[in-house]
Order: sequence, then C-alpha cells, then structure tokens
Amino acid sequence: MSARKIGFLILIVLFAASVETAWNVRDHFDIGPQGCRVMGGRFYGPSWSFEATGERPVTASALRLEVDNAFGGVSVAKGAPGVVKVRLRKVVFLPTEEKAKALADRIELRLTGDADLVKVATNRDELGRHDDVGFETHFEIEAPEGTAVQVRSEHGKVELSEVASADVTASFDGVTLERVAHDATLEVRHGSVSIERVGGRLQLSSRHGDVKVAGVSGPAKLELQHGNLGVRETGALEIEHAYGELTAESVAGDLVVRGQHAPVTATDVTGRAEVETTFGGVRLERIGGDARVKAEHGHVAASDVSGGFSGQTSFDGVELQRVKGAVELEVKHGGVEAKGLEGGARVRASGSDVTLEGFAGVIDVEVERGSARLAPGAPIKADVAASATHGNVSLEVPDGSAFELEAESRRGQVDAELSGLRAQRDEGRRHGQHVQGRSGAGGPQVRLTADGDVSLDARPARAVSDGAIEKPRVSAAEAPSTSAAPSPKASAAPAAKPSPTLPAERAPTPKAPENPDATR
Amino acid sequence: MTRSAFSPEGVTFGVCLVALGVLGTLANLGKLELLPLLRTYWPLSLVLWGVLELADLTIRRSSSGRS
Repeated sequence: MSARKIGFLILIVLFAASVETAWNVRDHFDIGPQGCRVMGGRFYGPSWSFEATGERPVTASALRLEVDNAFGGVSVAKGAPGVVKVRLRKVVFLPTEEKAKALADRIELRLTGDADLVKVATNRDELGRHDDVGFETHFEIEAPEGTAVQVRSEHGKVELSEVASADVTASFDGVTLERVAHDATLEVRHGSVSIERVGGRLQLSSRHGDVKVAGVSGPAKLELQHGNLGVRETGALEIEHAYGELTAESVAGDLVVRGQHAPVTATDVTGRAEVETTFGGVRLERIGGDARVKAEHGHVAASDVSGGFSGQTSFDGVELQRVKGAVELEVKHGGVEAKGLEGGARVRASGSDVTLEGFAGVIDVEVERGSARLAPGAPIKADVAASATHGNVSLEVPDGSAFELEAESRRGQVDAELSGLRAQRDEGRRHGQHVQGRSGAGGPQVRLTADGDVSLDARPARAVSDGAIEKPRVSAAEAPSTSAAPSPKASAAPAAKPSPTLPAERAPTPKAPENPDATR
Repeated sequence: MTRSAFSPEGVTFGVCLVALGVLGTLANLGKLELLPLLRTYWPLSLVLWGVLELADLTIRRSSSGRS
C-alpha cells in the first residue's frame, strides 16, 4: 500500500473520529448541575429569581453580625436601629419556572442568634448534598449603626458600608468596604479589593487581585501577591508585596515595604521609608524621615528626602535630588547621579559613572570601571575623597574654597591649574602624575585618585541645591462619620440615634423565614 | 502491472469533498441536519474508495492482459 493511500486512510479515520466526538458531546456541552453551564465560578443559562425576607429585633447597641454565603453577593449597609433586616434573593438555574420554584421553596433563609449576635445564612450545604442544581443566594442586609460585621463568602461580591468593624474572608469575587468606623480585617483570594475610609487599623491579605485603599486612620498592614496595590492617605504602612506594582501616597507615619518583582512608587511619607524589592524600580518623593532602599535589578530614584538616604542597588543606577541627611550608596553594575546632597555622601559604585552636583559635607566616592565627576556648587568646607579605577576624576572648585590637595593619576595626567593653588608636582614618576598642594589658606583634605586623568576646574560658587527640600504633603484621613461603639464586643455604649432612612414600622416579632414569592 | 488508469483515492477525496460541500450548504439552508447525516453515512466513503480500487485493479489487469 502506498504512502499516499495510507495517508488518505488516516485522513478518513480522523474525520470519522471528529464526527463521532462532535456527536457524543453535542448534548453534554453544558458543564455542571443540570441545565446550566458553569464558567469561571458563575452559573449561566435560564434562571428564575425568588425573594425571601426576614427580620430580627436586636437590643444590644454593640451588635455582631455574622454572614455565611456562597455563590451570591453579600451587601451590608446601615439600617434602622433595633432591627436587622435581611432580603434574600434566590436565583435558580433550571429550565422551567415550575421546577425552579420548587427548589426555591426549599432554599431557606437562616436567621439565628441572640441579643447581641445575629447569624445569617442559608441551608445551601444541605441542599447541595442531594441536588445537582445551580442556584445563587444574594443577601442584602441592613443592620443598626455600630454593628460589627463578619462575612465568609465564596463566589460572590461583598459590599459593606457604614459598619463599626469588618472581618471579611472572600474568594472568587470582589470586596468593597466603605466607611468602616474601626478596624477592618480582610482575606481575599481571586478578587479585587476596594477600601475607602477605615477609622481604625487595616489588615489585608490578598492573592490574585488588585487592591485600592484610601483613607485609613490607623496603621495598615497589607500583604499581596499577584496584584497591583494603590494606597493613599493612611497611617503607618507596612506592605509585603510580590508580582505587582505598588503606589503609596500620603502616608502619615513610617512606610515599610518588602517586595519581589514589585516596582514601588511612594510619595509624601511623613516618617521613614524603608523599601526592599527585586526586578522593579523604586521611586520616592518627599520623605519626611530617613529613606533606606534595597533594589535588585531596579532603578532607584529619590527626591526631597528630609533625613538621610541609604541605598543598595544592582544592575541599575541611582538618581537622587535634594537629600538633607547623609547619603550612603552601594551600586553594583550601575551609576549614580545626585544633586543637592546637604549631608555628605559615601558612594561605592561599579560599572558606570558617578556624578555629584551640588553637595556639602564629607564626600567619599569610589568608582570601579567608571569616572567620578564632583561639582560641589558651594565652597568646599569638608573632606572630599574620590577614586576611580579605569576612569577619570574631575572636581569643580567653587570660588572661595580652601583645602589641602593630593591628586594622583596612575596612568594619565593631573590638571590642577587653579589660581590660588600652590602645588608641587612629583616629577620623578615614570607613569602618571602626582600633585600635592594647598588652595587658599588650606583646610579640609581633598584626595583625588584615578587610573585616568584627574582635573580640577575653577567655577563660580552657587547654592548646593536648586531649591529647598519639599516636605511631605499629607492630608489626614477622615474618620467615618459614625458614632459606633469602640469595640464590637464592648458592653453597652450610648444608644445610636435612629436612622431616618427607613419609614417607621411597628415592632417586628421574630418569625420563621417566609415562603418565597416567585418573581422574575 | 501497468500504471493506474485513474487515482481511486483522488476520486474518492474529490467526491467526498463535493458531497461535504453540498450537504453543508443544505444544512445552512435548514434543509437537513449535517451532524447526524455525517455520523450515519461517513463509512460510505470507505465503500466508494474500495469500489474504485477494485475497478482500477480490474482495468489494469485487463490492460496488461491485452498488451
């Protein structure tokens, strides 16, 4: 049999196999419970909605609300005092309304608890054991002012607003918190998070979702992987972050970041800023205290630092502008460009050049495989030491500078033609040049050493920095306007004022969950 | 043995392509359902190919007998 005939036979067999496969799966394209498709944790297909409501009167002013739900949203908002109102919307995915209603009648709203605790849930676990049907349960809850809320949710959006405190564990959908009077604790997986206005502390753990936080009065501790993080207007901030971008603005306190594969941008930090990251750059602006940065494979840029700056980078450079305190830099395979260093600098760099424009204080620069260029701006009043291997060293000497000079070029020339400099050249060297001397009345030591050329040039004096160091601009986070009790477990606190949002109702009596009315 | 008078697999391939095109067009016009038809009648392509192979063999033998 020829290869052509064999190939044709294989073609027929493959065609037949495709037809058979298509035939076999044509009625089984729907994955999941009968009649509905499940994709991404959500049900699709024909569905029918039914509602149930429930109320539970409460007497405690520091109430706890616990909500347990899956495959449906949970929304908790401030409601009338003295009562917890629950509206349950059941969405049943079955082909006919009759079948859907029969199942909806079996989905129960479970509203239990005692005087200071209300639990809200459904009997989903019991139904799920015996029925292969897709259904969603969506809660809309109104709770009195001052309620501490705990939510455990899967595959459903969680939205809390105007609650006393929040404790949320959620997955496979987003979480939104607004105006939480006190502490908030969240653990979220595979969902985005949006938090606005927390009056106390914030603790967040998130995986696979972006996070936005604004307005946290107390300290915040955030831990994220695989998501971008945007934070503004917080107290002290501590972040562990991997695989995402971090932006922090207006931090009233210290900022501490431990990152991996996470570029960091932080502006307006009133305290100290301590940042470690890899494979991402770091940008700091307007830092009120000391700044310490360690970045592997990332560029570091900082400006307007009111304290000192300490930096370690590799495989990229450092850029500094206007630093008040002492600067200490270790840069491997990268260069340094700095302006306006008021507190001196100690720089160890390799692989590229170092340029310091505008500095005061003691300067100590060592460059390997690069050159050093120093331009103080103001007259030299402290020791300056600079050495470069496989490079040159140049120093601009402002008018009015007085110092003791020692300049050595191992293989090049020393050019030190300055008026007022009385220098002696060592003429006996075979290679390079060596010059010692005194400028003006003498004073601090200036030691310049290079494998290449060493040059000193006179320049008119100017300011060290092109402007004053800008202070952090921080707007205080507003605490949510609610008179909630300070602790969800505290004993009786002053009664909250009645909420005007709901019409007056006669005192409800506890009742069993009502039969749902079928609605579309 | 002499060379083939025609290519049985070529003819079968051509006939099947024509049939597939015609049936697909009729299915798009709503005249029939394509998948059940294909599932039922695809083995006929093997029958057609076999018949053409036998015909080719007969023709070649009769040609070689005369020559």
